[in-house]
Amino acid sequence: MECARIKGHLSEYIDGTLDAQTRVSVEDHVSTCSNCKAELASLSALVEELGALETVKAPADFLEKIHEKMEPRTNFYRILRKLFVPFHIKIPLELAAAATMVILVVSVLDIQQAGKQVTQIPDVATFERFDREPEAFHEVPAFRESVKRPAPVFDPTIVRPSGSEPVVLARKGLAKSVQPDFEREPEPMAPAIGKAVSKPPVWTGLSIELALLLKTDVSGRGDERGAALEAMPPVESDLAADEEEKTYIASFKKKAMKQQAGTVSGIKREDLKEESRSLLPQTLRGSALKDDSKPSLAYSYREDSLSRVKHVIQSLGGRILSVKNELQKERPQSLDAEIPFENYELFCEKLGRLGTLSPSPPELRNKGQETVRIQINLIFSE
Amino acid sequence: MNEEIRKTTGSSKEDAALVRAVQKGDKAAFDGLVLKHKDKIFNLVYWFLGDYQEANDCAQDTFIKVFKSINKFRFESAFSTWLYRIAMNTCKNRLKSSAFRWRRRTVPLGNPEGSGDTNPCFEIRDNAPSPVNQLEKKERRLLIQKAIYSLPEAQKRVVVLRDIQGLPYEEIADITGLNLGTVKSRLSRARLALRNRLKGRI
Repeated sequence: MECARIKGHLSEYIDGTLDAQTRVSVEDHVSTCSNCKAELASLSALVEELGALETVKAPADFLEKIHEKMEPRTNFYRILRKLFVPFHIKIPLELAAAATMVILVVSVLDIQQAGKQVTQIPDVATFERFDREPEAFHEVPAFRESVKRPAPVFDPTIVRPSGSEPVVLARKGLAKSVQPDFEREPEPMAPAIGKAVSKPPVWTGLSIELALLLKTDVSGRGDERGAALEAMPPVESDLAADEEEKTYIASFKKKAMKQQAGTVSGIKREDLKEESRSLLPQTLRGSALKDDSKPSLAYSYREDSLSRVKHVIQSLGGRILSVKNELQKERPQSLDAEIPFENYELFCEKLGRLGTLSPSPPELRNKGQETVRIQINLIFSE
Repeated sequence: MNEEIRKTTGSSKEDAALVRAVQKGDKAAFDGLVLKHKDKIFNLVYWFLGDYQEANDCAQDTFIKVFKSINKFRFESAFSTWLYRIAMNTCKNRLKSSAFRWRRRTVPLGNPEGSGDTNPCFEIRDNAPSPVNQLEKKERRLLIQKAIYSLPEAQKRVVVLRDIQGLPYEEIADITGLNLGTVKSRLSRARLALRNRLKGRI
C-alpha cells in the first residue's frame, strides 16, 4: 500500500517537482524499502538515458526545401511535374482515361444503333395479320368511287351465329362482302416503332362502313307512321337544337302526316309491293293513281328515311358527300358522309334510333383525326 | 541535450520581434525563425515519428504552416509554445495518414531510406569515441527509438516533450492542452512503460 503510493511519486521525485513533505516521505520509504529503491534507480537511469540522447539535427538544405515548397509554381514547372509524374501515378491515370474513352465510344455506338432500329421499315408479315382476321374491320378507302354490284353487308337471314357450318360460311361470305369490289392502291406502310409485337390489330382507319336497317312502324300501316314519328323519342340534340333545326323537324313531321292523310292519290300503284298495298287503309286501296308525278308511299318512306339520316348528319356538323341510288330501282342505296370525330358516338346513337346498325359501330381511337367518313348502306324493310 | 536545446532556443522576446517582422512581410525574419528553431523541431518530430525522412517532411510542413498562419499569432503565449503545438498537430496528422502507415509497413523503424544523405545526423558527444562505443550507442538509440515509438500516442507525446526536449511541465500542459496533474500522471505511466519495454536491454 505504501509502496504503491510511493511509486506514484517517484517520477516527480526524479524531476524534483514534489513538495517538501511528499519528498521527505518518499526518501524515508525508499531508504527502508529495497523494492522501491530499485524502482527509483531504474527510473532514474531511464530518464538520464533519455536526456543523454543525441539531438537529431535538420539537414543542411532544410531552409532551402522550405523555400521551394513555398514558392509559387510557374507554368513551366507545372508542365515539368506533369511530364515527369511518377509512373505509379501516371499509368493508373492514363489507364483510367483510356477506359473512360472506351466507355464513351461504346455508348455512342449503342445510341446510333438504337436510332437505326427506330427508322427501320417493318416487313409485310406485320400487315398480313390484318387480312387474316375476317371479323376485324378492314381498312377501307376513305371514299368509294362506284359500286358495280351491291355488297350485302347485312343479311337478316344470318343473324345469330350458332357455330354451324352454314353460319360459318355465311360469316366468311359476310367477311368477303365487306371487302371493296375494286382494287385499291396499297396503303403506305407506317413505320413500325420498336419490335413487332403480337397484339390484335387496332382500328385506326378514318372511314367506316355501316349498314342501317331502317325502322318502319310496327304494323306497317302508313296511317300510323305519323304517330310513329310523333312517338319517336326526341334525341338530346333535338332538344337542344336551334330554331332552324326545330322548324325543319316540325315541317318534316307535318309533311309526313300530310302524305299519309291526303296525298295517297299521288302514290303510284306500280311502285308498291303487294304487301305494302295491303297495308294501305281500305279507303285508299282501290284508288286510282291519277297523278303519276306524286311519289308513292313507299317512295316517300324511303325518301323520309334518307332525309332523317341526312338530318342527323347535318345536325352534328357533318356533311353529305354523296348519295348513291340503286341503278335499276332508283332508290337510295347508300350515303357517304363526313362527320366531326368528336360527334361520332352521338352520331351512332342517333342513327341507332332510326334503325338497326349492323355491324355495331366500332370504337374509334382518336389519333388526331378531325373527321370520320362513314358509308351508310341503307336497307329498307319492304 | 536538454541544456543545448534551452540555449539554442533563445529568449522569447527575440522570437516575438522576429514574428512581428514576419507579420510585416519580412521574409528574412522568417528565415531567422527557421534557423533558430529547426533543430529543436526536427528532433521532436524525429523521436515522435521514428523515421528521419518522415521527420524531414513533417518539420518542413510545420514551418510552412507557421508562415501561412503567422498573422494569427496573438502573442498570448511564447512563440516556441505555439510552434511546438503546430509541430505536434502536424505529427499527429501524419501518423494518421495512410501514406505513413503504408511506409511504416515497408520501411523498418530506424532504417533510413536511400543513400547516406538521409542518415540521421547525430551529435557525437563522446570526445574519444571508439568503434565499439559508437556501435553500442547506435544500438541503444535504436532500441529506445523503437520503445518510444511503441508507446501510446498520449504517453509518447509527454515523454518526448519532457525527457527528450526537456520542456517544463507547465509548457507541456500549454502545448498539449492538458492540466498539470494529467501531464504528471501520464508521464509517470509513460516512464514506467518505457522502463518495462527496455528492461534488461540497457
